[in-house]
Amino acid sequence: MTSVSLGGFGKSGRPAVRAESTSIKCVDFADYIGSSFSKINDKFTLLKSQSLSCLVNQFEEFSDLTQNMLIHDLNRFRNRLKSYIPILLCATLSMIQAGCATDGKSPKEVSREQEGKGGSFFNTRDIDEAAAKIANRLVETPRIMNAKKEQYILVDAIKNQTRFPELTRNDAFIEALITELSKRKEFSEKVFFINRERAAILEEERKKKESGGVSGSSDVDYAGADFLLTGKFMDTATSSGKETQVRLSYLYTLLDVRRQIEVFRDSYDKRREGQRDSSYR
Amino acid sequence: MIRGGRGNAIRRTAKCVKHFFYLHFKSGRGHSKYLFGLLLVSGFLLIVNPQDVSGQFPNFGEGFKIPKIPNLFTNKIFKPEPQQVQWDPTNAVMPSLAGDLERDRKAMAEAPDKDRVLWQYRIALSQLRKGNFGVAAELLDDALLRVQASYGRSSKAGSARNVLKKESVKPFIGEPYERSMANYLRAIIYWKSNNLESARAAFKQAQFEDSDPEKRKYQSDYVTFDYLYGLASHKLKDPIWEEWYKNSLTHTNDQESFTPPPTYDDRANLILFIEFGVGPTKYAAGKHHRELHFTGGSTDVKRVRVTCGTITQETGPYDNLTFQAITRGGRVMDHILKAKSNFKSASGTVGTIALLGSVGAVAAGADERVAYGLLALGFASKWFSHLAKPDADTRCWNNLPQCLSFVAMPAKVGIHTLNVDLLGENGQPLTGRTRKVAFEVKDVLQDTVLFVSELDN
Repeated sequence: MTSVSLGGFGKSGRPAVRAESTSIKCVDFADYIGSSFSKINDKFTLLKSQSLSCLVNQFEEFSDLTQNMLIHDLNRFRNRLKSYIPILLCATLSMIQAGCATDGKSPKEVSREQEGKGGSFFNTRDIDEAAAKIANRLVETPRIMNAKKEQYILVDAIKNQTRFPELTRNDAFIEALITELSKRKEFSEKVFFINRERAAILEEERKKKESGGVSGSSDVDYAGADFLLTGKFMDTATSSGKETQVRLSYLYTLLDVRRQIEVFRDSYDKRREGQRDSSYR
Repeated sequence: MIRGGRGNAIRRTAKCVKHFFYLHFKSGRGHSKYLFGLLLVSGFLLIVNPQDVSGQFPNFGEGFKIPKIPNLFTNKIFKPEPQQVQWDPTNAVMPSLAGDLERDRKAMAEAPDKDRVLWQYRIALSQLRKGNFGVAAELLDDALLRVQASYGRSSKAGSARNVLKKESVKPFIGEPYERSMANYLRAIIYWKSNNLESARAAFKQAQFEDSDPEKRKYQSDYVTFDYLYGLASHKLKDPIWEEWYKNSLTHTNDQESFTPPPTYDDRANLILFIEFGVGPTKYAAGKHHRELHFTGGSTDVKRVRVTCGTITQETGPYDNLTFQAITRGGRVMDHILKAKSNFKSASGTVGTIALLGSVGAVAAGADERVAYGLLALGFASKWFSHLAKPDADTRCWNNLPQCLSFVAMPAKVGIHTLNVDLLGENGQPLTGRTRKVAFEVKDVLQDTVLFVSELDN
């Protein structure tokens, strides 16, 4: 076999050619290249034919071998998998256990029929609904509506025995009730609510009028209450670890001040149940 | 000639290994060098990188991040994990408050929305200690609204149950003792604004937050909340007060020096809420940090003496927040975290076995496709193991006090100075820790509410 290496140009400017296992010492560069290429070409043609036949043989062998080994490997792999089954099962079960934890449930209203399930959370809409219900009851009271003269109602501070501070924050309920009643024309023309929250300011104003500091009459005719409306919010809450159930009740009473008798007593209930996401429990 | 020495031994071993693989790969059917490379990588991951990926990498300063490489030592075959991992401050401590409202608000705005409630809790308490009741009320109202909104389906909260996500991805609402404290502080502010109806409702809510511990004997067992609900009802002339006062006497909270609260004084118009000590904090422990634990708070204060003019009253702590934190017991979330942890372990074990199996398959001269399959299975399993996040949520309200106490006494109209002495073991006032508060009583019929804390921020 001849191997040739080209060593670049020598000091004389001729190409330095070294040859091994041949008698070539020094030849013209062009001749040498030409002969070398023809030899390489022959060699390459020979190799190509050998390789093709070899590849065909190898492919035939390979296809048989592959078929056998594939079956063999699959069997081995199946057997190995069997030993992993407990571990895989454990991992799967862990994922299922984690994934099966429950979502939360928004507090929702339940109907009377579902009272057995119970539960309710405070909602600002409850204030409006309770106010509307009481307003309806007041409008339907003949003692008030059939009276020939103006009637004055004093609303007592609402007692809040629930766990919802919002019910009594900023007198939200009283404001809602008076607003609701003001919308009913037949009622608002006949019945008035006594507002003593600003009593100090009004008294100061009266004194200014009396002293002549400001214009207007200083005569007073403070209205006395004919009726006293009292109310109380109560709740019963239970938490079972999973669900929280709340019953919110509003009890209200109308008292005849002069005779100190109850004109009516009624209540208004809401039940809701809710659940936090299990990630919070 | 074979020479001695460690270097030669290593070289010889390396040569043997190389020769061994060379012999096997020579008879293989292509791609063996890639397989060899992958095995080297897996060997590197097994041996060179033994630290637990669920732990924290060392901090090399801001901007420097070490690439996270999956840890392959997540099973007991090679390295049993310690059962008790010490408190990891990088995972537990929130950035401390500056004490300045604007700076704290800015920090809160920059914090993730899931931590908003926690920031609001902490800033509210900090502001309450500075006497900014209005700011505290605003922050607590928003926080409590968010807590109430936590009822119901929430994809954010649900994601905490995802095996591949940490528990701390859920919006923070706090453990029951933290939610109780938020309501308690709100109640104080209601009282301050003379809204006793709302104040007692908030006390009731605070007690309700503690209604679901694992053991029923610790259910709604705060002395302070029952007692103050009774006092507020007493002032509102609601006969329900008696029931709540009696309830407050039934809780002792296992405190050695517990003194039952006194009966209500009709003349008391100075309402003093006192807190002292450093409260509990949370840390994650156990396998894969899956268990939520509490570091006990601390205080050397045994009793408190309050002096206002000629009137002196002494009181002890009524409630201990560490006691309340640890008596909650197990959580539903603990089971979920345990399942996550089991998944992490199991998938890690499967991965290790598969990787070793692939090495064994090569060594035994098996078909390289088997080795490839096992290698792929091993990597996939290890990667899932790495991705599983069973860490417990350790975000905590870290400026809470250890103990709650309370004093009510009569005070005349005028400007007064109140001395609050914190007493040590022998009843001696602790040096330099007396609190002096100047206040004005404008109306005897209206309560004057003071909030005194040993802590500044």
